[in-house]
Amino acid sequence: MPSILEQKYYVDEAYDAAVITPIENVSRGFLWKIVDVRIIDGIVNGMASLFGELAAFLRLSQTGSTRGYAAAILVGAIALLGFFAFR
Amino acid sequence: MKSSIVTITTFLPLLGALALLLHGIFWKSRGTEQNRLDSQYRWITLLVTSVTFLVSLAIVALFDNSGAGPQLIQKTPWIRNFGVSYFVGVDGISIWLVLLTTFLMPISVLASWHVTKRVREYMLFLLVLETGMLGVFVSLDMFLFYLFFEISLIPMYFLIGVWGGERRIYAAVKFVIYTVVGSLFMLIAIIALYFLNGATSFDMIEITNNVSTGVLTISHGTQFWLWLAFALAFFIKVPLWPLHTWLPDAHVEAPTAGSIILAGVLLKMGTYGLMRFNLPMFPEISREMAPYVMTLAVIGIIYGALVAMVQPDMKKLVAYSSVSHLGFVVLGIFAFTDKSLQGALYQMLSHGISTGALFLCVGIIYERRHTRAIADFGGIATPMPIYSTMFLIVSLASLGLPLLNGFIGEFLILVGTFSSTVPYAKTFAVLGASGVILSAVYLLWMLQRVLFGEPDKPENASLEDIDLREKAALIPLVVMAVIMGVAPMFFLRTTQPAINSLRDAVEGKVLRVAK
Repeated sequence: MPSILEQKYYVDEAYDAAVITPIENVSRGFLWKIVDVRIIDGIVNGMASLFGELAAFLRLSQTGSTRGYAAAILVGAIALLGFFAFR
Repeated sequence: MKSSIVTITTFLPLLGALALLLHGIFWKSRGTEQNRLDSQYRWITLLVTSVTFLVSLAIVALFDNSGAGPQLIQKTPWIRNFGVSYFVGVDGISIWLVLLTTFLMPISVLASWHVTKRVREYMLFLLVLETGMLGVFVSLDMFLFYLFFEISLIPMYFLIGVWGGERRIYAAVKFVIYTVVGSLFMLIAIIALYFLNGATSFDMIEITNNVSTGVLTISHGTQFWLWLAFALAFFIKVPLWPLHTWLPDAHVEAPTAGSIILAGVLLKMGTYGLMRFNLPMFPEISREMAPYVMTLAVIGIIYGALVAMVQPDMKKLVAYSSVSHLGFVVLGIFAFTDKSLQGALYQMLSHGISTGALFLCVGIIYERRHTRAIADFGGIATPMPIYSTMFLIVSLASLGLPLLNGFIGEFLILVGTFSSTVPYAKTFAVLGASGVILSAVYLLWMLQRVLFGEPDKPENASLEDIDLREKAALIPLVVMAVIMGVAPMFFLRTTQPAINSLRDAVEGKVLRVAK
C-alpha cells in the first residue's frame, strides 16, 4: 500500500502543523508566559515592590535619634512660620 | 424556629468551632494523646458540617418557590445609632448558594482527612470559613454583608498560608491583598450609599427598592463611581480577566479542601455580589457598562481556556479553567435576559460541584504521588478504575456534556446572551461558545495524558484505587452533577421569580410604587 494512504493523506499532520501547534505555541509562549506572568503579574508584583521600595526609603528618616527629630521639628516650625509670615 | 432557620444554619459551624476549641482544651489537659485528639477533631468537624447541611435542607423545604423577595427573614436592630441591623434571609438567588456551601463543606472535611499538621486549628478555620461564606449569602444588611465578606477572607488566608504548598506565603499574601484592595473600595461605596439613602439604615432591600421606585435618585456620575467600586471588589473575587492572577497561585498552593472551597464557593461571592448590588442598585450604569464587561468576560473565557490548555500542572489547569468558566457567568449576568441570568446562577452552582470535584480528584492522586505534574502520570486507569471513571464523569460535567450539570448553565447563558439587547451581544455569544470547545480540548487532553495510555512509569502501576473515605467525598459530587444535569427545573423553578424581578429591575421596568 502506498505510504500516503497508510498515513491518511497526512491530514492529521497537516492539522497539527496548521492549527494545533500554532495555538499551543501562542498560548504557552505569549498568553501564559508573557501576558499572564510578565505583564499582568508584573504589574501586580511591581506595585508590591514599589511600595516596598518606598517604605525602605521613607524608613531612612526614622533614625531613632531624638536630636535629629528635634532638629526636624525646628526646621519644620521655622518653615511654617516663614510660610505664614511672608505669604 | 421557622424564622430563625437561616440564622441557625449560618452559625452552627461557628458553634462547632467553639465546641472543637473547648473539646481540645479539656481533653488535652487530661493528657489525651495527640493522635486520638486529632482523629476526634476530624470526626467532630465532619459531624458539625454534616448536621449543618441537614439543617440547611430545611431552608429548601420551608422556601416558597413562588416568592421573588427574601424569605425566612430575621431582622433585629444591632447598632442602633448607625441603623445597622442583623438582617438575614434567603431568596431565589441566594438559597442554592447556601445549599452549595453546606453541601461542599463535609466533602472538604473528608478531603482533609490526611492533614496532620495542627489539625484542630485547621478544622477550626474550616468551620469559621463556613459561617463567613454562609453569612455573605444570607446577609440583607450591607454592613453585615461586608463583615462576612471580610470574615471569610481570614480563615482562607491561614488555610493557604499554614497548610499550603511550597510558595504558600506568597500565594496567601497575594490572595489577601488583591481581595482586600477590592473590598475596601466596596466599603467606601457602602458608606456612600448609606449616606445617600438618608443615613438611616444599611438595609439592602430598602435601598434596592428605593432605587427602583425612584425614591432614591443618585446623580449619574456618583452612580458610576459607586458601581465601579462594587464592581472592582466583585470582579477581583470572580475573578474577571485581567484581575485573575491571584487565583492560580492561591489554588496551586492551597490544600485540597482550600481549593475546593475557593473554587466552589468563594468565587461565587463575586458573581453573587454583582447580582445583588451592581445590577439592581445601579441598573442604568450596568446597562451602559455591559458591553465592556462582556468584552472582558469573553476575553476571560477564551484566554482562560487557552492558558489552561498548556499548563503542565493539573491544579493550575483547573484554576485557569475556573477563569474561563466564571467568564461565562459574568457574560450571562451582564446580558440581562432571564435565560442568561438563570444560566449564570446555574453555572455558579454547577461550577461549584464540578470544579470542586476536579480539585478533589487532583488532590486524591497528589496524596498518592506527591506530584501534580501531568507528565508524571499516564495510564492510571488500569490501577485505579473507579477513580478514573469518576474523574472522567466530573471532567465531562465540567466541559458541558449534555445530561451533566455544566451543559445547562452554559447553554442557558449562550441562548440568553444571543437574544440579549445589549450591543454586540450576539458576537459575544458566538465568541463565548468557542470557549465550550476549548474546554473540551484542555480537559480531554489532560484526561488522555493522565488516565489513559500505557502505565509507563512503574510508580503509577501500583497505585491503589480510592478508598471508602474518598468515595464518600467524590460520589455525592458525581451524583449531584447528574441530578443537576437531568433535572434542572427542580432548581430553576426556585430561582425563576427572583431572577425575573432582577431582570425587571435592571431593565428599569419596575412599577413606580406610590409612596
